[in-house]
Amino acid sequence: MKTTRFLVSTFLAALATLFFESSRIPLLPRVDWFLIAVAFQSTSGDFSASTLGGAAAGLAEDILLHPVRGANAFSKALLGFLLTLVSVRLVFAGAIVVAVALGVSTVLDVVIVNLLGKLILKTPFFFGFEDTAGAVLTGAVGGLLYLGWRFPWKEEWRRRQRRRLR
Amino acid sequence: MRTTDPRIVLPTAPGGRAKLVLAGTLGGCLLLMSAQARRTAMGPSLLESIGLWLASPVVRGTHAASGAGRELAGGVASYFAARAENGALHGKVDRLERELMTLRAQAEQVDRYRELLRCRAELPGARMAAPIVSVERRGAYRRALLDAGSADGVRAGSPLAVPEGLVGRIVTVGGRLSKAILVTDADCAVGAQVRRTGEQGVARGQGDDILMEYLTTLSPIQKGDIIETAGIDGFYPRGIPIGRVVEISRGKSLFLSVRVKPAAPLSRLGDVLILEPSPAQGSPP
Repeated sequence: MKTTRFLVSTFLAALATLFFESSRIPLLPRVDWFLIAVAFQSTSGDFSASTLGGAAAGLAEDILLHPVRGANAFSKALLGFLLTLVSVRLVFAGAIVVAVALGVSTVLDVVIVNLLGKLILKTPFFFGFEDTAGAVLTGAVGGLLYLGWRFPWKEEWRRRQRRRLR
Repeated sequence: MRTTDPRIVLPTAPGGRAKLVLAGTLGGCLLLMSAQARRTAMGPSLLESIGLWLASPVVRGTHAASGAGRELAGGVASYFAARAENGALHGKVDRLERELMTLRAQAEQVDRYRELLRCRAELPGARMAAPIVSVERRGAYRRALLDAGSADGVRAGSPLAVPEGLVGRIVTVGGRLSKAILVTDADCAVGAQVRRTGEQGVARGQGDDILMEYLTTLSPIQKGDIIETAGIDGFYPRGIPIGRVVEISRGKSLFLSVRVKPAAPLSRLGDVLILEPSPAQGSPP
């Protein structure tokens, strides 16, 4: 189940990233879909799975997009561990909590990757408007996805059916 | 996230194994990065090459899907743009068609006026042209309304004519409209003569045609003879064609009964020339 969750979420994150990068829709390419996938994996509550899943998702991101191979893997593995910690220690529920957690995680991710780039490739540290927008958007999209995931679609459909039968 | 299933017990803190996995993963990533840092000048790593090779179909697929989505969005936008443009063009075409119809009507009117003015020299005292706006045909009465009145200089008693012949006479003048009696009206009588022989009589309207009266049975009138105004009635100037003789019969008395077909196309009148009233105008016959 965890493997399926990991595979599906990482694959969908890769698809979404590539799709929105290719599209010219403004701002949506700034969403960190891989981090959303890692957050989804962390809801399993399994630290090892979340860490490895995060590393794998980050590695996929590194291979596809990033110049420092392993930087995103490092960051996502750490964030997978931290998000799992949040989900088991604190209440990781509700769209706003999820959105805030994802927004903060995005900022952390950017900071970690930037620091690693600075340490390894001597690239300058930069945190700009796009990174802030990315954090906000990732949080918002994560919150919306959480709402969609947790919404009682079946009950709502049955309720509508009952109302129609009356 | 906390699970709601009480049978599943999740650890609330990371165990030693989890910490070990984290440390190992992070260490591996660091090793990967440091190896990359040492080999920056040696081209892509094997992992990178394999990753790119594996990812290439996905990248191509998503790129194609994204392109298709963009094209679809562009197509939808183009559709709506084309729809709006189509509506605007339809409106423009309607407006242009209306303009064209108006211009055609105006051109036809100009042609009619030109035709009327061409014969102005032949018709004595032609003053102006005016359109007939309606013709009333009731019984033997034939009356018409002209779109010209006293404001345009129209005077009562003015004869009306077209290039083909006499139409009638204005009987009432309003500010912008005038009422006319046609030559075929039962109340209309015109002093007439046979153009070929010069014999005079009275042409009286009969509804659709005209009856020429007071020609003696000794008259040499023939079918096809042209009847014209004689200029003796005080209304109509001399020499305007009234019509052509179509039937001659002996009347009850000493006079012939001559049926005349009007020269002017009274059933399809458009514009008419208003002539100067005869200087010898008196009371209508």
